[in-house]
Amino acid sequence: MTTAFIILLLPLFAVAANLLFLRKRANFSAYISTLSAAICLVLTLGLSDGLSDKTV
Amino acid sequence: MFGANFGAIRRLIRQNGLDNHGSFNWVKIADFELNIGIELQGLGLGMILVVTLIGFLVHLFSLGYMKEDAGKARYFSGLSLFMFSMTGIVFADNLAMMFIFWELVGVSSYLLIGHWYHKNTAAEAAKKAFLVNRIGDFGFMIGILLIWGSFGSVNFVEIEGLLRNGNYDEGLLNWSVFCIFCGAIGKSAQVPLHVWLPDAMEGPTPVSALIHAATMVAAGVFMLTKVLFLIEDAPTAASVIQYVGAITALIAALMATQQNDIKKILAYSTLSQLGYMIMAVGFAGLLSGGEALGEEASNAGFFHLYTHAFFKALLFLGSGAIIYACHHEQNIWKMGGLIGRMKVTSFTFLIATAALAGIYPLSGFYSKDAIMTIAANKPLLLVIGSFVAFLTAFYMTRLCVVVFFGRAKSWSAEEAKEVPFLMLVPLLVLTVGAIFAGQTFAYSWFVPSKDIPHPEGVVLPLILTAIAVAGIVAGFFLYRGRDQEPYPVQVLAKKFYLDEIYNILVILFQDAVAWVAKMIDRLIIDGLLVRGGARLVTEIGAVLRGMQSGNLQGYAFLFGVGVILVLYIINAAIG
Amino acid sequence: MPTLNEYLLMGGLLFAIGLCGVMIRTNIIVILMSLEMMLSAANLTLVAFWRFGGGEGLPAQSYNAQVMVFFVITVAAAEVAVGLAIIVALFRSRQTVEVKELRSMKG
Repeated sequence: MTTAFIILLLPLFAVAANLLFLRKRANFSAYISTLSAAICLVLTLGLSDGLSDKTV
Repeated sequence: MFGANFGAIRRLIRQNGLDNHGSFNWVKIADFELNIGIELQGLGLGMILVVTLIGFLVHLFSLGYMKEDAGKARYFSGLSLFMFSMTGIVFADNLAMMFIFWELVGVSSYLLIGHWYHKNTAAEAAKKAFLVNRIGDFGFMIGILLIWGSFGSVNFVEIEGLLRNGNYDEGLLNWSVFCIFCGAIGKSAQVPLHVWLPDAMEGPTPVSALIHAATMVAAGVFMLTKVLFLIEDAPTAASVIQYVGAITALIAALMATQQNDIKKILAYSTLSQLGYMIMAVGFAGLLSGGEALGEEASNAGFFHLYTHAFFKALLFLGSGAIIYACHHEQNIWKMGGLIGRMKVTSFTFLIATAALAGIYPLSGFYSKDAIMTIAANKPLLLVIGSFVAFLTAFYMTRLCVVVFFGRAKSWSAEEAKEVPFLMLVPLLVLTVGAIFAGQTFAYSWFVPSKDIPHPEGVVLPLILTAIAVAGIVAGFFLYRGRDQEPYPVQVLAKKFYLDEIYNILVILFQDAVAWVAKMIDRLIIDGLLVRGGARLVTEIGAVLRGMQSGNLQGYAFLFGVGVILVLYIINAAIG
Repeated sequence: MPTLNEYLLMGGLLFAIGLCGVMIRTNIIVILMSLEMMLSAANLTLVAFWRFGGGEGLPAQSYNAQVMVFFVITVAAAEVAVGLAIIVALFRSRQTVEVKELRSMKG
């Protein structure tokens, strides 16, 4: 549940960071977004594993 | 090393306790409660993997593709916003929350299609996508309200429980499902609201890969699998869903055979594959011999969604690489011979094409088999599906033959060279996905393996393979060595003139509304209220002005008359 | 000794003359004078009613009417003072006291 919420909200934080703090530094914003996506992916991979352990 | 880290993260998550459902209250008005909740199980797991995996790869690809773009920060903000909204759709545990995120993906799609807003076509396409989606979403909203009206809840689990109690009106349920399906028609671009998707290709190509091929347009299918229990009990709406899907698959495939823009071809191909998925999910409500196919059907639809996400994202990213290499040339008749200049891209693109055509043992083969097994319950739809499979193989072969083989037909194709390594990584990863995603081990690693339908015997797979091979052979021989479209079919190239018809309809409707509004404005607002009021005051003023003689004695006289009148009236009233 | 009716007749006559003056005359000073005449008519009537208010040809017990008449006289005096001042000011700005020439209120 916590993990899921992190996956949900991380990109939103990336948007906020992009818009508020890093507007003038385009490269930074690109990296932040990509990083958030990467973290989400890793969390998702962990998530499924935990779940299928439970359900199986 | 990577694997070790992975294990650590898994352990970390497991230690922190993982609950697959949780929610908090957001709005509470009298007996109406709105929760923001997370429900993650079954197909949702597969969907979230598709979203984050393709999303991440597209981010990676975009780093290269959008390197020189001035609006880079805006673009990546849009991508992140999309990731947020799409995750929300997948996680949503109730229809209202899903609807909110549903709109949010619409917004981010709008922002990203219109990324190059200074280009008129892009701005128009963004507007079109948003407006057309609004039509579908309106139906979706009504559907949600109907559901809430009949069950008093919008939570999936609660609705399912109430439905199992059997206390519902079937007619109303049919309408609810149909209205909810309208949302899918809009978002998943089914006939007749499919017109926005091809135009949406004006956006940057990675966006097309992420939003308009792999994830957002599949949200409609995913949403239908979420409300599967409703479809199961609404046979009429279910057959509407099947036929809409089948018709979309057919006409989109037909239109794809005559397009000249590489992205447009892929867009129509996406439409037709989405039609497949919708059709399969629609079979959930088919009562064959008194039995609903239920989960089996939706699993087939979702399975195709999942494999399609890989190879179609790969195709789009591949086309993005090609466009990037060809200096933003998108017309396939100006490319050619790229296989020698862009070896890796061509290789991945051809793999994805084979997967889409359904060649053994690539992922598309398995998912197409699953869908056809389901469709076999209605012979007509099986025939349509098979024909679409032929068309799919045909137009993809046409695309590949024209783009990769033959001679270069313009200087931009001659100068094309392989894209940077950063952009190749996503292509290669997706190629692995396109090859192996259909295998049971890959799928069940993520989605707790449920019964994906497999054809009984080898007859159906053999026939389908034969059809695909026939399509490939036909495409290869018809288009080998051509420098321009040899068999122009206007009606297909012009997309059955649907855009034009819609234009006329919209103009007629708009003119009628405008005329009525004008009349109301002229006659009632202007004539009666504004000018009428002014005229009334003027007329009364003209009458009363006569009394203002400026003569002191006149005033005194009138004053006296007034006093006498008042006295008389008072007297009469009392007396 | 005159009766109540004779007093009332006299009052009415005075009031009518005053009204006619207000309605017909065009000189503002005369109009003001006519107004005063109408006030006097009212005063006369009041006093007359007081004089015969007790019945049997006797005056009324209270002096309310007398007090009221005094009030009216006082107010009339003040009114005349203010009125004449206004007329003077009017004459200074317009050089006339004829109401026929003062028609700037005409709509």
